[in-house]
Amino acid sequence: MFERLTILAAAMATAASLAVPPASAEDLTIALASEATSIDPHFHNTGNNNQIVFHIFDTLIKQGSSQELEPGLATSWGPIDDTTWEFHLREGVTFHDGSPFTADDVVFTLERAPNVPDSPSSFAGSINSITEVIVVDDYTIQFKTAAAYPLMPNDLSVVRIISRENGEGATTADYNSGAAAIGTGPYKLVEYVPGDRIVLTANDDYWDGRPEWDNVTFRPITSDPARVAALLAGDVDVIASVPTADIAQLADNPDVVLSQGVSNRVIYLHIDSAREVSPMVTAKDGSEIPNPFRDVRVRRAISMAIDRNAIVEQVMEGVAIPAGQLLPDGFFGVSENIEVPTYDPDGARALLEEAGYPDGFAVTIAGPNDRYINDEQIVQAIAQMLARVGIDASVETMPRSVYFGRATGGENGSEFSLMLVGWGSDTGEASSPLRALLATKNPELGWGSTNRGGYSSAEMDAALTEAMQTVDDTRRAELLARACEIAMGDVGLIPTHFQVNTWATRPGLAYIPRTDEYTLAMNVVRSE
Amino acid sequence: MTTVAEPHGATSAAAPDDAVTQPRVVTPFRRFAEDFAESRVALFGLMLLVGVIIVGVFAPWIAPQNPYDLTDFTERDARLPPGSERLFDAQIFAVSLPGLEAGVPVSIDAAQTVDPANPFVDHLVIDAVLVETADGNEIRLTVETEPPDALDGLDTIQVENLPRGVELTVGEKHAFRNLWTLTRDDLRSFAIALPPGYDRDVGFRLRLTTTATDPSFTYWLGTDAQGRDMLSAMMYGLRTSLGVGVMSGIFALVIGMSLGLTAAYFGGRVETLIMRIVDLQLSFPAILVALMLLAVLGRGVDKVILALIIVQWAYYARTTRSAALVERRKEYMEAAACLALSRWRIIFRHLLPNCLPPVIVVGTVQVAHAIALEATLSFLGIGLPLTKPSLGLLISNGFDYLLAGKYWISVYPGLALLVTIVAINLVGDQLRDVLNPRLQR
Repeated sequence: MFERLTILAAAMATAASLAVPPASAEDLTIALASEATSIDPHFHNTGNNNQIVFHIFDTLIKQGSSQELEPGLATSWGPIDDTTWEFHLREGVTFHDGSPFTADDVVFTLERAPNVPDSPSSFAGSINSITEVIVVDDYTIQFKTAAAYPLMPNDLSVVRIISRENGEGATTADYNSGAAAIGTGPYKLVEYVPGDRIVLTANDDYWDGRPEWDNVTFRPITSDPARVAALLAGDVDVIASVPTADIAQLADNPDVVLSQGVSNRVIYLHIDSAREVSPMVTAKDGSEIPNPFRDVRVRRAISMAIDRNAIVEQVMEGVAIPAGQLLPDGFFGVSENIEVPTYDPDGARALLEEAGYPDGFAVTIAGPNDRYINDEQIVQAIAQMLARVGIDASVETMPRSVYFGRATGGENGSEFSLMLVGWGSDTGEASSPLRALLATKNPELGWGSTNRGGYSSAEMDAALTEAMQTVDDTRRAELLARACEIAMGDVGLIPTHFQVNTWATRPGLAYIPRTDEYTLAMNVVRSE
Repeated sequence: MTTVAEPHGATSAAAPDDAVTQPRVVTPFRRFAEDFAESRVALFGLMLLVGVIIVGVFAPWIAPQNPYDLTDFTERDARLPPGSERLFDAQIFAVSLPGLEAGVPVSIDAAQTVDPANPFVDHLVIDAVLVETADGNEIRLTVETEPPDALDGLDTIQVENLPRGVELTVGEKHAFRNLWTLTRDDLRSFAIALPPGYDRDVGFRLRLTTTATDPSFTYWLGTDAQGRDMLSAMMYGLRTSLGVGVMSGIFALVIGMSLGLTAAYFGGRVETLIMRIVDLQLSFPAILVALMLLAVLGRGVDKVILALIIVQWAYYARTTRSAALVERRKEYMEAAACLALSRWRIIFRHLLPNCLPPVIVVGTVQVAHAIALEATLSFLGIGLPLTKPSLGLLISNGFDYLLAGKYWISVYPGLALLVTIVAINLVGDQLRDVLNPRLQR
C-alpha cells in the first residue's frame, strides 16, 4: 500500500575493507544517544523504547526500513467486510520460553497494551478503533471496528505481542527485570541495567531464521563527542545519531563507514493560533497584547521569515531537507501541490505591517536542547531570522524532561507560544501527524492529542474524517493530501526541515538506514 | 577604600587617604604598595587583571560587534576559522518560465529575490526555448550574466526549488535534496527535462555563491555556531563574568561580614545561631547548592548573582568572625567601650577596619571562585540565557565542535577564563602575603 521510498542516499560510505579482523566477530556493541526507559513494550510509546523492544518482541505486521508493511506474526490480513479485518497468524512460532504463540496471546496483548499503569504515552491510540476481537481458531483472528477503518494494518504494526502465560499480572518492573520480557523476537533479553547497558542474545529458534549476531549490547552515550570518540577508539561497533558537526571529518576517515537516510520526522514550529492572549508574546515594551498569531498573515509572515535553506545548509551542515509539509516526498498522503515556502524577509515585513504590526512584537521561542539534531542551534537561528524582520525574539531551551511537559501544558494549554517540536509518523503515512498535531482536540477519537498550537479547521477535520474511513488507497491519499493543503494553507504549524539521520560503523559493517530513525541490530549488515 | 589597619594602632583604622599625598611619610598604603610590588609575578598578575577589567568594562565600545544583538550577525558566517573575513550572502535569482510554447524562444531578465549587500552579479539574462523530444519535452536555457565575467568569481552555482518530477540534464543532484550543483560551463547552457505529459509551469531558483569575502570585517578569533564574532562574544562574556563575580562578591561580602561581626561581637546565642547556619551552608558543595537554586529560579543574570551570593556569604562570615574574635579582646576595643561609644560605632568604625585584611584576601579568591562557578553553571546550561553567552556558555557551545577540529569556539573563551582567574589569584596570593601579620618584617 505504500509507495516504496527508495532508500535515499544509502551511503556516503567510504568503503574500506581493512585487513584487521574484528575482535569479536559475532558480537555487536551499539552506542545510542539516549536510553530506553523500560523494557515493557507497552509502557511508553517512544522511539527510544520501541527500538529496543523491537528486538525482543514481534508485531503482527512488521515495518521494513522504509516503514513498508511486511508479514510478521501474521502471514496475511485483509478486510472481510466494511467493519471487519481478518488476520491469519503464523503457525509454529514459539516464545523464548518455548511456549507456542496463538491467537490468545494477541487477545491478551490488546487487553493489556492500553492499560499499563503510569504510562507516559500509551498505545491506546493504536488500538481503540477495535470494538471487538473474535478468535476464529488458534491461528485466525478478526477485529471489528465501528466504521470502515483502513489504517488497521498500520496501527497494529506498532503493537508488540506479549505472551499470556508470562504476561498475566506482570508489571512494568517485571519486564525490566527480565522475568516477563519473553517475546517471539529475534533476540532474547539477557540483562537491562538502566543508565549502563542492555544486553541481548540471539534467539536460535527465531521463525525468520537465526539472527546475524550472537550477542548485542546497547550502551547509552548521551554526549555527542564521547559517542564518536567511543567508535574511533573501537569501544563500540556502531553509533547512532552521529553529530552533524563531525560528519564531514568522519567521511574522510577510512576507519569509519557512514550511512545516511531520510527520516519521517518533520521538525516544525507549533504556533499558538487559538488563545486570545498567548503567554510568551508581548509588545516590545513588555506589555500584554492580544495574540498576534491568531492572524494567519502573521503566521505566514513568520513562515516566510524563516530561511529553511540556511537552517539546512548552516545549522544542519547540509544534513537535512527543507520542509513545507508534514512528511518528505514519497510517503503516503503527501501533497504534490505544496512547495517549500520561499524565504522572503521583505514579504514577511510587508505582511506584518498589513496585519497591524509594523513595529513587530516580542516573542520567546521555546525548544528542547537534547531531543532533536541540533535543536538548540535551530531555535537560535530562527530567533535571528525573526529579529531580521523586526520581531524581538528571545530563546528558552531546556532538557526534554522539562520541555515536553511545559509544551503540552495543563488546562490552559501550552506554556509556550512558539515552540520547536518534531513528529515522526509511526504509521509511515500522513494521517499520523494530521490527527495528532492539527486535528481539533477530540479525546474520544484520540485526535489533537498533541495539538499544542490549538489549530482548528472544520474543513480539514472533515477531509481527515473522510480519509480515515476511505478504504481505497488512491482516494485516501488524495484526501490526506487535501487535508495537508488546508492545514499548510492556514499555517496551522510551520515545518522547517526533515531530519536526515546518520549512523557510523566500523569498517566491515554498514547500517541500513530506517525512516523511523530506529537503530536495530537487524539493520547492521556485513559489508566488504 | 584602601585603608589598611596597623595591627597595633586604632588610629590607623581611620588612616585617611590623603596620607598618600604627603611625601616622605611611609604611610600604610605606601608600605603596602611597596610590599606588593616586591613580587614581579604579582605585578604581572595585577597588570593582566587591569587589562581584563578594562576590556570587560569597555566591551560595548571596543568590541567590533554586538554579540547580544541577533540582527548583528547571521548563521551564514557560522564556524569560520580565526582570521576569516565576513562572507557575502548568496545571490538568489527566481526564474519562472510560464506558458512556454514549443519552438518559441523567450528571454527573461531574472530578478533577485533577496538583495545582498554586495552583489557580484548585477543581473542574469536567460534565453529559454521549449523543445519537443522523443521522451518528454526539454527546456533549453542559455544564461548570460551582467557583468559578463561575473561567473569567474563564483564558488558554487545551485539550482533549487525545481518542481517535482523535473530534472536537469547536467549537473550533480544532491544525494537526498532537490538541489542541483552546476559548474560555470553548465550554467551557460543547460536543459530541464520534463516528464511526458508534464503540463505545469516550470520555475526554479538559482543560488550563486561567491568565493570573494568582505574585507571590511575580519573575525580575528573566528566565529561560533551562530556566526557570532568570537572576539566580541568573549569581550561581552568577560564583562558578564566579571560583573557577576564582582557583584555577587560585594553583596556576599556585605552580608557575610555584617553577620560575622555581629556573631563575634555579641557572642552567645546570636553567635551560635549564625555560625551553625554557616556550618550548615558550608557542609554542602557550592556547585550543588547553586545548581538546586538555579533549577528553581530559572535562567538570568540576576538569578545567577542571587545564587552566588547565597553560596558565598558563609565564607565571608566565618573569616570575619575569626578575625573579629581576635580583635575584640584587644585593648583598643576596651578603650572604645570605656568612651561609651555606641555599639554600632564600635563594631563598624573600630572592629570592622581591623578585620579587613583577611577578608580582602578571601574576597579576591572568592571573586575568582564566583567567576569559575558562574562559568561552570553556564557550561552545564543552567546559568545565563543562550542569546547572551558568558564565557562558560561559549566554552560549552564549542565543546561539540572540538572533535571536528573547530577548536577556536571553545579554546579561546577557555583561555580568557583561565587568564582572568589566574590574574585574580596571583593578586590575591600576594595580598595574602602582604597582609599576613606573621610575615610582617
